Amino acid sequence: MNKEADSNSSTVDIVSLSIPCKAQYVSIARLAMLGVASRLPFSFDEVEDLRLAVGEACTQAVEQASSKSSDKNISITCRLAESSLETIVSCEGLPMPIQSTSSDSEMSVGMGDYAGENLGMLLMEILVDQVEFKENQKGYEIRLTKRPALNAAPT
Amino acid sequence: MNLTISKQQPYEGCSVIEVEGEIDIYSSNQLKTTILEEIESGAKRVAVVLSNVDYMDSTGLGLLIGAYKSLREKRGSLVVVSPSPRIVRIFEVTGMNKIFDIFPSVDDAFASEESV
Repeated sequence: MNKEADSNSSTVDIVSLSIPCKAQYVSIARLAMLGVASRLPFSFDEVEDLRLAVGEACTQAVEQASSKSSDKNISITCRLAESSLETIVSCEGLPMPIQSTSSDSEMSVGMGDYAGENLGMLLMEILVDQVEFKENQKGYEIRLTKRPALNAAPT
Repeated sequence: MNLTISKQQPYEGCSVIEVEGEIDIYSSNQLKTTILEEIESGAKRVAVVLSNVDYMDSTGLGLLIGAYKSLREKRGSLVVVSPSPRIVRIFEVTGMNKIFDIFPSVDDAFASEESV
């Protein structure tokens, strides 16, 4: 675990994890998120939401990698600030997943085509406070930010 | 982590599939294969019991949608039975609770089918 100071000079703890970009390792990322999220005052449902969102981000990478060589790794970096948890899921050498979350695409699936990709994006956007997708020369990253409801800004 | 799946056919053309474990990208193929086998063997009404499933992601939702569509094309139906509150929440936030009929028990699910 590392520490750094954020723009407000409060300490940010950093937890990093790297897993092979394979389906059987996604559960390890979910398990780790349980421990990380418990450091902030999240409710049970919020922890579960975060766990699912991070699992979805990893699933996106595994699905993107499935048709290519499977020697890639998924990097998961958690930045724990006083009132928020930012989780960055990145995988080098993979194209950006499709971001469409329209309800039409969810319903246009057959038994051989889950459209899990679109549902996954939809779930991430619903379950955390902020989702950012960034593509760079190395690959892409999904940045998920969640704040405990007690600290959430009023809407 | 593997799923534990059991199945039974209480009535002709009806299949009850009980699932235990976590449904994710690694394990969902197991459930997909089971549902496909049931459909191919003639089941028109499939009840998926989720009372012992504590985690389901988009791959699980996606395969249930796929099975629902396959059965609907055959004039059949797929219903969800006894999901835990956590799974109900996933259905609700994605709007899937409006697509799937959700029943508290297998008996309720098939009683509903008989009344249709």
